[in-house]
Parts: sequence; C-alpha cells; structure tokens
Amino acid sequence: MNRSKGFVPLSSDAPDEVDAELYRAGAIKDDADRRRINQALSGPLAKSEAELSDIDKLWADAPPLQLQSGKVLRLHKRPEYRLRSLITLTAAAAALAAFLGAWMYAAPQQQTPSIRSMGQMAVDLVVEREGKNINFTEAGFKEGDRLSINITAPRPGYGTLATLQEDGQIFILARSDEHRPLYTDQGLSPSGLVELDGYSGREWLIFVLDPEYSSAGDVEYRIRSYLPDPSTSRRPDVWVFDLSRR
Amino acid sequence: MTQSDAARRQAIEGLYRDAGQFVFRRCLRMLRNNEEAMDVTQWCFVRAWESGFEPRSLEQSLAWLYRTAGRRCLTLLRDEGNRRRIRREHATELRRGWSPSHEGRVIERELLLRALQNADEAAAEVAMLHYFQGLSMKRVVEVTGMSTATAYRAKSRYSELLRRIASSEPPDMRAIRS
Repeated sequence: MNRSKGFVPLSSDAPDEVDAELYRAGAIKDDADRRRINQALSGPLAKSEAELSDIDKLWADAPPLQLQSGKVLRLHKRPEYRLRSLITLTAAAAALAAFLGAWMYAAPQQQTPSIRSMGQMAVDLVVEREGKNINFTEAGFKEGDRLSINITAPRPGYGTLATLQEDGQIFILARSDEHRPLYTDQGLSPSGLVELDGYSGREWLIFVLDPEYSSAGDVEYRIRSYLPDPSTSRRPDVWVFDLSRR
Repeated sequence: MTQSDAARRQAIEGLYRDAGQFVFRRCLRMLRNNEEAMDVTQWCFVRAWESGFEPRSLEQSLAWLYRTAGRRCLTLLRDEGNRRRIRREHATELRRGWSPSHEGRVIERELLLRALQNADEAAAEVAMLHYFQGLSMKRVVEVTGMSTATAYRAKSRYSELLRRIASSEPPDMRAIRS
C-alpha cells in the first residue's frame, strides 16, 4: 500500500520543478501561486526548465499508451472443482475412466482435440461452444467460443501469451513475472477462460518465449512487428496459432 | 469490463496524456537512455492499470508515478547487464571528446551507481529520487511517505556509503574507457 498522499504544491518554500509540472498540467488553481510559479520559471527554475524542455522534445515521439483491454476478449473465471469426499473422488475417477474408454473407441470425427504441438511446444487448447467441447480443427472458431489455453514452455524463459488482430490490436492474456521466469515444461495460462468476440478479421494466438525479461511495451512492439501474417514467422522463440473466425 | 473499470481506464489514459512527459523526464534523468526511459514510462502507466491504481488528483498520481518509476529504474540500474551498457555508453562518449570535467561527471555517476548497488532499500530509494531523479528532499518525503527524519537518515546512509566507496575504491577510468 502506498503511504504517500501525493505532492503538496507550494507548501512554504520557493517553487520547484514539481510545482512547475503541476502548474503546466493545470493543477495549480490559486492565482497567487500561479504568479509565483510563473515568475520562478523565468528566474530560479529557468536552467532546469531549459534542460527539461530538451527532454520534452524527445517525448514528442512517445508511442500511444497501450493498456490491456477487456473489450474484445473477456476472461471468465474457471469453474471451481472441489472434491469434497472420497466418494466424489472415486466417482470422478470412474467417470474419467469411462470417458477415456469411450474416447479411445470413438470414431475420429467425434474426437475433441485438446493437445496440439507447435514446434516442440505443447499447447493445451480446449474450445467450448454452447456448453460442449468441440473439435475446433473441423468446426473452426466462432464468436462466443470459450477457450481454455495452457502453453508448456519447451525451455526456460519469460513467456508472454497474447492475441494479435490483423488491425494491430494486441491483448496480453498471460505473462511470466519479472522475478519468476518459466522453467522447462512449466505451463503458462490466462487466469480464466477466453471468450472470442465477433472480430471479423484475422486473429492469432501468439506465445513468445524470451531468454531475458522485456517490458510489456517491448513485447507488444515485437508481436506487432510480425504482421501482416505472423503464421509465416519462422522465429524459434515465437509460436503462432490461427484463431480467425469462420 | 465494468463501468468503474472503463472510467479508471479513461482516467489513466488521460493521465498519460497530461503527465506522461513528466514521468519521462524523471526516467530519462535516471537512465540516460531515450528508449528505456520511454519503456519505463509506458510500464508505469500499464502498472497503474494492472495494479488497480485509481487516479484521484494530479498531485497524488504524480507522486505514485514518480515512486513507481524510481523503483523500476532502480531495478534496471542494479542489473549488471545494464551497468555494463552504461559503462559502454560512457566509453563511447569518452572516446568522442575527452575532458577532465567529463571524466568527473562519469566518475560521479559511476560512484552513484556503485553506491546504489550496495545501499539498503530505503537508502537506494531516497538516493534514486533525490540524486538521479533530481527531486528535492521535501518531494522525496512526499513521494515515499517516509517521515522527514527517516528520509534524511536514509540519505545519510547513502552518502556515507558513497564516501566509503569513493575513498577506498577509486573507479578505474581505464576500465570504463576500455
């Protein structure tokens, strides 16, 4: 928790750089204070103002702020499963055994692909449509599909899982912490199910594994550079999966 | 995205437009690298969004942003890889135009960085804001929320460390130049 209450403009002493910044941003309301700061800008603060105005020129090239948005992809909490008793556990195991048995004997068109391989990386992708898991390789993706995604890192590094639209919009779904890189075979997944919206252009699921930590802005910049078609990328540290709707 | 999320998002985007350049000023003073300063500035606002920070006033927001930027830059400057890069950049500058005053500035920064590497967290944070960001001690107190006495004690510890490093291990300019 931040104990700081914030800056106190012009408490008692002469105006400083922070006062000048508050003044420029229109946060100083008192006329007398504004006059004092204005005078200081051409007096004691003139030198630092000159230095700072040089810095401000560089800021003219600043990129727009890219905040992760929930507009297109909505995260839903995973349902919580609690095994309350041994009976429940046994029942679940029996159901699983029955399911596996049925799955093994099922015709190929009834299978629901969940684990795919992209290069040497395992992607655990389950797609749910209208409450049922679907075979997305045949049925493709549609608005409203809910995706459960888990990526297994093939080697240690800092992972970023994101979607990229062909219009350049990026949504970071999961990122490894700066102080906790992924180790080999460790999974990375979003905090919930990802629901696809009705975006009509092309869209890709992208996983980037960096040996060194990069800022979110840096990674987004790189991911965007894979356009117009990231699936043609042959970079060893980038995996791409087409999520375009049909 | 809830209504309050949308409003908070708008507020943070507005804050970036109004105050982004002020945060960038501080970051550039600390890092002396345009791209990294841009990155850290962006990172601070993304962090504000992700951490649930709610901008209430410019005074409160700037103080939060300066502190967050200071800590981020501290992490970067303590990283040995970044320190090597800073030394390399100094080397280029030194080869371009050598002057005793330039050497003085390089040594001064090198000492500040080395002390930063070894300082305790409070001392490093105060030093970062005061020596690298250029904030007055009054502002440091406001940003960190420390008491005035605690902030000055932290500054003294850092200054003492600086003196010890300067007197016992004068930086080797040949190493910096090579």
